[in-house]
Amino acid sequence: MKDLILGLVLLILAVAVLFLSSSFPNFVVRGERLPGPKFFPTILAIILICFSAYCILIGFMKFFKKPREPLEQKKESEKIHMVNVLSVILSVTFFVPVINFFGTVLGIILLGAALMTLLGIKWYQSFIYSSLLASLVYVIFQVLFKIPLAEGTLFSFLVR
Amino acid sequence: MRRIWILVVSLTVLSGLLLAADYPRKSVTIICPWGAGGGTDRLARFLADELSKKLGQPFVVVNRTGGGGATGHSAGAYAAPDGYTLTVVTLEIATMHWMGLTDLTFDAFEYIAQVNEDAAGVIVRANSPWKSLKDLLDSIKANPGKYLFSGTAAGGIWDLARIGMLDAAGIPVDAVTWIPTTGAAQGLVELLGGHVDVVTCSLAEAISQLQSGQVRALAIMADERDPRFPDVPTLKEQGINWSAGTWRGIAVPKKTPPEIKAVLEKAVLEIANSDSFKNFMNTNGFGIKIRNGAQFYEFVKQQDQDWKHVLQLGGYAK
Amino acid sequence: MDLITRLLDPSVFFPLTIAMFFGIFVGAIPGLTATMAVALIIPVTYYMPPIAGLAMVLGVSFTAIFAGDIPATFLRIPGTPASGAATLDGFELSKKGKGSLALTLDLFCSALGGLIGVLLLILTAPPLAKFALKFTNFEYFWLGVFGLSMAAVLSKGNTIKGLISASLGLLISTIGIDVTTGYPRFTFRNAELMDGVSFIPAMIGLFGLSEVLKRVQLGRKVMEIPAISEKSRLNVRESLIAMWKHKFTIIRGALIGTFIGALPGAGADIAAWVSYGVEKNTSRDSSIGKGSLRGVIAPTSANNAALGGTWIPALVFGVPGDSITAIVLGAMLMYGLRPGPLIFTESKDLIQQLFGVAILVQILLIPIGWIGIKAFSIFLKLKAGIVLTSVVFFSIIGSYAMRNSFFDIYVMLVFGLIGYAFEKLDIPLAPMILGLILGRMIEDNLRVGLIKTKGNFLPFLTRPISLILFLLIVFTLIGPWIFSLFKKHASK
Repeated sequence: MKDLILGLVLLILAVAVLFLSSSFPNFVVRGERLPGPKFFPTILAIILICFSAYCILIGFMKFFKKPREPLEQKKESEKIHMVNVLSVILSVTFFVPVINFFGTVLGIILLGAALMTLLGIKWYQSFIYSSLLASLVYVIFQVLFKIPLAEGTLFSFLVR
Repeated sequence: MRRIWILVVSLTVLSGLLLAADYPRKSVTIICPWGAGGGTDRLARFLADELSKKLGQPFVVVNRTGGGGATGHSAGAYAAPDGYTLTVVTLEIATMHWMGLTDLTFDAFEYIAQVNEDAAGVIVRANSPWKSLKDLLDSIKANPGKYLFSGTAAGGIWDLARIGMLDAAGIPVDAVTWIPTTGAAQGLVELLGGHVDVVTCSLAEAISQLQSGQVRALAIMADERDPRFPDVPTLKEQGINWSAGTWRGIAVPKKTPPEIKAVLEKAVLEIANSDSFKNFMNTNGFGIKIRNGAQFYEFVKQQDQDWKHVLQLGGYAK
Repeated sequence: MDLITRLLDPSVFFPLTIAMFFGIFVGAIPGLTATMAVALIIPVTYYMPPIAGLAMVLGVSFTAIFAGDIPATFLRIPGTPASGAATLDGFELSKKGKGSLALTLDLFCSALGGLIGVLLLILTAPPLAKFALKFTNFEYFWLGVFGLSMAAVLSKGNTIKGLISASLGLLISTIGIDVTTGYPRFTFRNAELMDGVSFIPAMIGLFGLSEVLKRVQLGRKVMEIPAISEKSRLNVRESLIAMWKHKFTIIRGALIGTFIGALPGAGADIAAWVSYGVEKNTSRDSSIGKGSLRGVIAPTSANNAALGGTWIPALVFGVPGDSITAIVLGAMLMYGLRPGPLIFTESKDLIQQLFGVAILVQILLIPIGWIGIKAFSIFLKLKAGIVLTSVVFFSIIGSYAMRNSFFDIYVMLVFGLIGYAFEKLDIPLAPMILGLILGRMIEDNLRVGLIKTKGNFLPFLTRPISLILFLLIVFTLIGPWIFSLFKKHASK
C-alpha cells in the first residue's frame, strides 16, 4: 500500500514538473542550442517517472499476493498518537499569526504552554518552562543581537 | 457626517504633524536587502550607527535577503510610510522589474540621498597580450565568439555593464560569451586560473588582485578617472560613450511625510560629508558619490531607462 | 612567546571564551546553526580590534560545529547541518548506553581534526590554493557527482528509495533563479523563492521538526528520551584507546575534510557526509551505521577539519570556502584587510595571531566542549514534553532569524512534514540532503562548462583532473562489487 501511494505521488509530481518546465525558454549561445533551464528538471522528472512505475508495480504485486491483510493489532508503543502530531504541526502553522497579535514573548508563552500541556506536562510547570523559553529567546535575539521580534498588535497602542 | 469627516481629516493631519515634529521617537529600522558581511550590509550598519548618534534613537539594521534583492526592496517599499522603516536601495531596483522578477519599480520609493557609486572595470590577467582596451576590442572584432567574459550571474550588473560597453563600441553583444558565476570573487578566480579571458567587475572588488599585480585593469566605465586608480583610463577618453556601475542610497516608502524626509535627508547628507564617512568608505574600498533626494530620484529614473535598453539587448527583458 | 602572551591578553582571550560558550549553546540547540551564530556575531565584531573579532568568529564556528554532535548523539537531531552524519552511529551508541563514550570520542576527534585542518591551513595554504585554481566547472561538476554518489553508498540495501530521495533533493534544488540564464524556475512569482529554497530552514525542518513529530506520535509514556541512565563522565581512557586504534580513520577524515573545505562552495556538511561515505565504503567493518566507533570518528574529524580548510581560499584568494567564511570575508574588508596572496606578507602579524587563535581554539574546545556535554545532559533530564516543545520553538526562531523571514518558518514546516512522510515510507533522508546541497553545483557547472565548450562534453573526460575524478567515481560505485567478485573467485 505504501509503495502504491509513493508511486502515485511521484507520478503526479513528475508530471507537474514536466508541465511547468515545458514553458521554460530554450537556451541558445552562438547559434548552438545548449542545455537550458528545462534540461535538469526534465531529466529528473523522467527519472522519477521510472521510479514511480517501479513503485506502482511493486505495490500491485504485493497487493495481489496478499489480497487481505490481517487486521493489524498494534501494541501500545506502535500506536500513532495523531493528536500530538497535529498539535505540533498546528503550533508551527499558527505561530506567525499568534505572535503578530500577542507579541513574541507572550505568544511563545501561550503557545508553548499549550503545547507542553498537550504533551503531558502539568499546566503550571508548562507556564514556568515556556516563560523561561520565551525570556531566553527574547534576551538572545532582541537584546543581544537586535533581531526585531514581532511586538504584536495587542499592545501596539502602548508604544505609540 | 461632514463634521466627522473634517474631524477625522484634521486629526490625521495633526497626528502626522505631531509624528513629524519630534521624529524619531522610537527605534528606526533600516532594511538591508543583502546578507550580513556584504558591502551593502557594512554600509547600512555604518549609516545606522551615525544616524543613531545624530538623531538620538537607535537605528537597527535588518537583513532581508532573497530574490536577488527583490525581497528586501519589497519589504522596504511596502512598510508603513511613517519614517520608521528606511531601505538601503541598490541598483537592482532599476533592473529587477524589467527581468520579470518582481512588480516593484523604482517609483515605489521616495529618495533621501545617494552615498555610493562603484564603476565597472575591464580586467584581464597580468600576462595577457592586451595592453589597452583598443587591443581587446580589436581582438574581439577579429575573433567573434572566441573570448569568454565573466564576473557575475547572467543578467547581473557586470554582465549588463559588459553588454552596454560592447554596444557602445559598435560590437555585437554576442561577439563574446558570458560565463555566469555566483559573483565577482568567483569570476576573478576563473580569470586567475585561466578559465576565462576578461572579467568586468568593479575595481574595488578586484583591489587585492590588482595591487598584487596578478591582474590588470584596462579601463573603467565611469565619467571620470577613479582617484584610487589614476592610471586606468575611462571609456569616454577612448571614444566609447558608456559608463556603468553599482550604487547605493537611502530611500523611504512613498507617502512618507515631507517633514520626516527633510530630517533624514539633512542627517544623511551631513554624515556623507563627514571625515569619518570618508575614512570608512576608503577602508572598505567603496567609491563616494553624493546626491540629494531630488537628484537621486532623477538619477534612478534615468538608470531605469538605461538598463531597460541594455536588458533588451542582452535578451533578459521580459 | 610574544605571540602567546598576546593571545592570552584579556582583550582577545575574553571575547574568545565568550564566543566559544555561545558556540556551544547555539550548536547544541537544534534549530540554531553555526552559520546563523556567525551572522549574528559579525555585526558585533565590527567594533572590535580585528584579532578579537576574528577570534570570536573562529571560536563560535569551531565550537558550534562540535556542539551540533551533542543533540545528534542524544536525540538524533543534529544541532547544525554539519552534524547530520553524526545522527547515524552516535545515536545508535547512545541507545546502547554508550552516549557519553561516543561524545567524549567525538570531542577529542573534533579537536584533533580541527587541529589537523588548521595545521594544513598554515602549512599548505598557498600551494593548495594554487592547485584549487586549476579547478573549474568541469572538475566541480565531477566533484558534485562524487558527493552525490555517496547517496548510493549511504543507502545500501535500500537503493531505489535512496535514489528517489536523492532525485527529489536535486529537483528541489532547481527552484529559484537559474544562475546560467537568469530565468526564475518553479517560483510562482514569489520573491522569497527566487534564491531557491532557503537551505538552513530546510535542514532544520528535515532533521529537527520531523524528529519531534516522530517522537510525539509515540504518546506520553514512550516518547521519553532514551534516558542517559549512565553517568555522563569523561571516558578519557577508552576514547584514547579507540582513537589510537582508528588513527587512520581520523587522519583520512581530516584530510578529506580539509580538502573539501578548501574547495570554494563546499563546506563542513559535505565533508562530513563524504568522509562517512568513504569510511563505510572502504572499511570491512560491517557495523558502521549500527553503532560503530568508526562511524562517529570519520564525520566528526572531517567537519572540524573542513572549517580550517574553508579559510584557505578565503585568505589566499578572497573567495569564500563556505557560508561562514563568506560572512567573515566581509568583516575582513571592514578591518581594512585585503585577503589575497599578499595578506601573508602585508598583515603578517595578524595572520600569525589568527593561526595562533585557531590552534588555541582546538585546545580550549576540550574543556568548554565537556561543559557543553554536561549542560546538555541536564537539559535532557527535563520531561520530554518540555524538551521537544523547546526544540519546536528554537526551530521556528532559528528559521526566522536567518533572514528575518516569516516565509522561512513555513519552509521549515514543509520540510518537517517531508521528513516525517519519508520516515513513514521508509525513504532515507541523507540522500535528499546531498541532492539539496549538491544540486546547484552539479547543474550549474555542467551547463556553464558546456557553454565554454560550445556544447561539447568531451573536455569533461579529457582534462586530467576531471578524468581522475571520473575514474574515482567509477571506482567508488563498482569497486567494492568487483572486489567481492575477486574474493569469491579466490576462495573457490
